Amino acid sequence: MRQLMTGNYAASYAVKYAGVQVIAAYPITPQTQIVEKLSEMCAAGELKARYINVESEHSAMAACIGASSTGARVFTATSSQGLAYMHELLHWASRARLPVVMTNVNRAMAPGWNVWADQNDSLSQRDTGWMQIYCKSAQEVFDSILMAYKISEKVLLPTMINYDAFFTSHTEEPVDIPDAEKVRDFLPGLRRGRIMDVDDPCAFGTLVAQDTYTEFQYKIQESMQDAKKVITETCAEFKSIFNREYALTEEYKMSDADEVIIATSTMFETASVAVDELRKKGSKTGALRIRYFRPFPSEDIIRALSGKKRALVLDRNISFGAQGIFCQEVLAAAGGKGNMPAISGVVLGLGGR
Amino acid sequence: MLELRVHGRGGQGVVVGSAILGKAYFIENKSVQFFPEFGVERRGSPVQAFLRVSEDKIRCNYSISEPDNIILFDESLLNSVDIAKGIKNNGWILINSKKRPECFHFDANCRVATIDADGISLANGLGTETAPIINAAMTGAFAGLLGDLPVESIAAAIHSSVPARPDKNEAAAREAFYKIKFGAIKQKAVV
Repeated sequence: MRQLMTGNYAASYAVKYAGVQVIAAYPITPQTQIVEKLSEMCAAGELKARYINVESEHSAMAACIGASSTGARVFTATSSQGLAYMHELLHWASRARLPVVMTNVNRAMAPGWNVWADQNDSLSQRDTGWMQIYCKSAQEVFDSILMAYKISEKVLLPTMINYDAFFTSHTEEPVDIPDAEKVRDFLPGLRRGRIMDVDDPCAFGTLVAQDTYTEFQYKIQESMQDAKKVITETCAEFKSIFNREYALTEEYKMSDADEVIIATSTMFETASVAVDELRKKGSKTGALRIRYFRPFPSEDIIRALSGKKRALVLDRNISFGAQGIFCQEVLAAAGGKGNMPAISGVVLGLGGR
Repeated sequence: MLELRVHGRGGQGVVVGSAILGKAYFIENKSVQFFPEFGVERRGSPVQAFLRVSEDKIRCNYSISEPDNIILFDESLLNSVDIAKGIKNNGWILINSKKRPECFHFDANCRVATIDADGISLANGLGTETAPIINAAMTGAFAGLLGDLPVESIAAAIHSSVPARPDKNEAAAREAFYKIKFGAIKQKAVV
């Protein structure tokens, strides 16, 4: 059924439809509506999940790690400083190979105090071993959460679903909410192998010395690379059931384009409007969206940019002393490859501007 | 594409009122995008909400700086906020006021309509003298003014949006709709 819904409520409903069993979260604007709605659903009995009130984001992630270790399907949501406060445990969740799913509403880091859209919060967590998605609409938030559980539970790495503060979190748009039965077919209850069990005790997080630590890191890297295939397969299965198409990247009028705007999240939608305007003036412009940041879809980006003349990367974030972070990543992917366009970047839209 | 900006004060129901309008257009199978002002809202402080309506999928993700029409819940805001800012040529400004439209002047090429939403809402038992609940009346008046939304869609949107007394809200919306539509409250173009 199609309904008008904010990105935040789309997230809440996706969590309900995913049959999440444990939710632990701490409120922070502009995320709070997600967990408010979830606590209402739990209180009303329409979502049979354990809702754990915690005193901080650090504890929220700790609770998710504990619950996920027992084999439960878990969820949390945060933003900005809250995500930063989780940092230590983000590493823990991925290195413990736990399929935690979290939404992060991209909000600027303080000071100056600012609750608006900015990607420096999640991009600061680049190397924590989480898969990261950047969504452009409320519909995509809903769909991505369902797919994220499926992907994370196969790959055994956590997923962070990011979307823009206010532009998506608080904006009402039409969202197609599918039948619960269809969702159950796509995403059955969580069944995993080795889990924490009082009747079958084993040790977790023990000492791993110099001789084997590298091997564990290697396996995470391998899983991240394999995840691209899992993501592509899951997107194909999702399309066959729900008829909505997703991939690691998205292209708009790219086939005959000479110049390319590369953007993420809602900025891509606005860029596609700009593409139409520029084409009216005779430019051959296209737009490319980077949907997955980790694993980074280098192959798809190189294929899309091959033979183009110019590419401009729009970054709603900055790595101080360097440049926009997506631009850096695109340059790194294109480095040494033939037939690549001249790539430049611009930092804009910081703090919701 | 139709772009609206709604002004009022925190607590007046600007957000719910705009959501009702959005839902009514959505019921009419339009593509809709609705968002409140991206800010930290407090009771009594100036607030805004934005609404885009289109036949096609809406891809713009930014604030509305050149609205087609403007709705003003509280005329006292005229002292502090540039209400008509960016309004498109010949756009409507609908004001909740007991005054006649020609009492208002804007430095823009726009049209003004007034509706006594306070009075209509109080007569329908919504709110108090000091804090009438006017969002249903304002949405009804706006639908009557533009003439592109049937009052039934407003009524349906009210029933799925307001937390309490949907029947009274619907009655207020209908009364405002017909008063504007049939000119019981005069609407007049002024420049």
